[in-house]
Amino acid sequence: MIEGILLGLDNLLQPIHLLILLVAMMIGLLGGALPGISGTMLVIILLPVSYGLDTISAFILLTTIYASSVFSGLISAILFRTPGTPEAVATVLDGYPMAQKGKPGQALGIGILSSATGGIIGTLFLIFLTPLLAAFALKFSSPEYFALAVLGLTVVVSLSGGDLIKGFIGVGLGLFVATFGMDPLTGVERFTFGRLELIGGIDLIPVLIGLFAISEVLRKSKEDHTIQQKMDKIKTKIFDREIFKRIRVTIGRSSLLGVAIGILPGVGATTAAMVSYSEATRWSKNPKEFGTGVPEGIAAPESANNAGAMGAMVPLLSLGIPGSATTAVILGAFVLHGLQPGPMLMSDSPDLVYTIFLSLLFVNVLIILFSKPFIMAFSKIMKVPYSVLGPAIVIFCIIGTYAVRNSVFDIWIMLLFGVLGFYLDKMKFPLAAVILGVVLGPIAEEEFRRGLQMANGDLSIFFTRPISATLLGLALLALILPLLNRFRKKTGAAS
Amino acid sequence: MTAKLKTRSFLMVVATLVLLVTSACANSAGGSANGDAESYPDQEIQVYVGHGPGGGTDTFVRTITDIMADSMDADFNIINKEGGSGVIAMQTAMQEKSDGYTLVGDSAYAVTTAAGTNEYGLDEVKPIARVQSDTYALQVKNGSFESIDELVSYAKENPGEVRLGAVGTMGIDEITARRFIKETGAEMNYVPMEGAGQMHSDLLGGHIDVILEEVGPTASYIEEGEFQPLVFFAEERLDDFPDVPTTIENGWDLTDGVERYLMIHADAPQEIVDLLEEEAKKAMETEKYQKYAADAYLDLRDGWMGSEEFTEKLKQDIEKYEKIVEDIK
Repeated sequence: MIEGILLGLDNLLQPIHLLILLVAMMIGLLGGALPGISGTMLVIILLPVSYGLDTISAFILLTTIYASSVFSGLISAILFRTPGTPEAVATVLDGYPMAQKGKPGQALGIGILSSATGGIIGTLFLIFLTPLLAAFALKFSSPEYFALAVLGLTVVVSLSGGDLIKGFIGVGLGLFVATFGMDPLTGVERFTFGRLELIGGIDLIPVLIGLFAISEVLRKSKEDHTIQQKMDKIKTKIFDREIFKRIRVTIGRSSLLGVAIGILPGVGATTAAMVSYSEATRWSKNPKEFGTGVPEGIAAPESANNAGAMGAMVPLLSLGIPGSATTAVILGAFVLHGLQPGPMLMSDSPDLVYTIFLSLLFVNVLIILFSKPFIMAFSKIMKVPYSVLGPAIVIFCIIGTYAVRNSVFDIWIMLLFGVLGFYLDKMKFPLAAVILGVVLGPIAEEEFRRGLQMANGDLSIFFTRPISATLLGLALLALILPLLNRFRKKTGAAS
Repeated sequence: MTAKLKTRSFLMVVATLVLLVTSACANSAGGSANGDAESYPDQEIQVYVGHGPGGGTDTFVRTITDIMADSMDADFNIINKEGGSGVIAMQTAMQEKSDGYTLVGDSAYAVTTAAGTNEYGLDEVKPIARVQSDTYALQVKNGSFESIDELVSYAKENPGEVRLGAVGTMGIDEITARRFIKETGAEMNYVPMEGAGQMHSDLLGGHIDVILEEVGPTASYIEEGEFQPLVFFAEERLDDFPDVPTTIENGWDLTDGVERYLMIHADAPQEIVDLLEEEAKKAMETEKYQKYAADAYLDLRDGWMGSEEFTEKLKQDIEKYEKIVEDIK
């Protein structure tokens, strides 16, 4: 491991990589802070750019953006009651009231300190846990990969936020999109309608950009754009001894909770933040004060979401299961760069994995230094109206999509999915579920059929191999438990 | 009222921009179709590879284009499009312009054409040159089977039990694997793998029993004593593996191996094709390439074959494989 860390450090300290890291951090901070641009969207927009970079630079770029955007979502959550990223939803609850009480600087300071601490704790867990999980590498073959993909697909339960049926329809739609193109095992063409462009299947990038970025722009364009409040000079104080004394236990507990939740495949940083906010309330001596602007109410979700975001990288890097929408996109990025995240990644590309680890660690430290000047600069950028910002995003999307394979057809695909995404979102279909299907569908299909072939067509291969059986069992549980819970609640309410 | 107006003007701005950008893209795509041989190359050359990174074909393309890039002062961009034994890469490449800036690194053209999965005939795509003619081996995990005879007799006694992995479907790997099964009567279960990396880890982990693979990509495993080649698909024993028997020795007429070559649109300017052929030959003769070939056991046979000669060979191979594919089906 020491060797890997040195290798990663060596990579990271190259000037070009440091530069990419800094630029990416700036982009991430800015995007995360702006409501309407989520980390997922940023990673998606920059995915085509990463295509032109070497693998190491590409993943420094994407993971840094991921980490810093999760962080900066708190800024607009505290100042404008609009979470900059979904992960900062819970931060609004106490952050905004505190800012309203005339202490926006203090609120921001608590958020920054908690975020950075949570992020660092999360990254340390990432560094130590990933190799442990990846040690299973050689035990994995097609049946296990199939089972992993299925387990990954069950994430839909937590992604669909209550409406399971819509979640399942979403995943189904994604899986359907994944079947387009040539059958990987027999070469038979499916749903190509005689179009050559469709033989290679529907590319992941246009679907991602369309569903997330374009639909979001469309949605925002219908909203009221008058939130541009005045940002007065804010004095951010990051470290305050008394406040720190008060919240350090909360930070510690929430960080650990955040990592633990983040590691669970399919439960991302947003869930981590919500859960740890409610835990902080439960553990507090004055639970009634929550929601009025208490420091713990900011510290808990902020340390948890950053820790959770780092934790979500553990299943991604060691098993190839995305823990959230953004990590699902990063999973896609690995595939596009010709890498398969999963047990073999650690042994095949240790330099890449350790560089990712170290850049995440580095970013979380840098955030403390850069957040103050950033918040100052940000107050100016907030004056750019969305009628300029929105179209600019659309242009980035179009150029980005076209650049991937020089295909105009892909632009149409992207716009189509943009409109589709807009309506799906309007009807409360979880878009991340669709992406889940698109990303994991091909893996599930191919490995299932290969597994069957290995066993001469005997389905029992998936249940007789211990790892595969365990994973499928977990997948079943992941599906049944929430249903059971709901059933219990319903009957409870009835009686 | 103003909010509504704002929304409307916003949407119009978006719509105009979308139209602008898409039409710009469409123009550039349909623009200058005929490449200029004089100034070639004045932009990046795209090379589509139908196999995963790290495999034989991918390494070949990366190595040769790397040397060619230096000598031609050009940039090569390698794009891996896995699936269908290179058919998807071919199809993607054939949708690009025929200006000489899109190449295909292939190794299964004859087979995929014979099998009907590839629909681009030699009138639409032509070889620049064949650079490698590789040698197959059946390899097992060290300690599982001692010799090829043991493997074959075990497979005969337990039909369908031995899992034989090779990369791809209806590619030269599968054809060779199936010809082997037919020729020896050793009934094995053919499992198509997604790529070389997956196949190697599956053999290491004991999820499959035998792989059909060249010794180059597995050289490190063989040196570490993890893998053991049991038989080479060759006429004579190889200098590097004097103890490993050949198919011909055992009376099996199977010596075809993977050939690796670069292809290009058939209507790309001839000057460009000639230039690339010449550059490929020069690259192949460099010390750097020769060292790579020797290290990866790629010099077991003479690889070079020029564009015209290789076109003829491909024609004959397609005919030959059409018959074999018919037989296998």
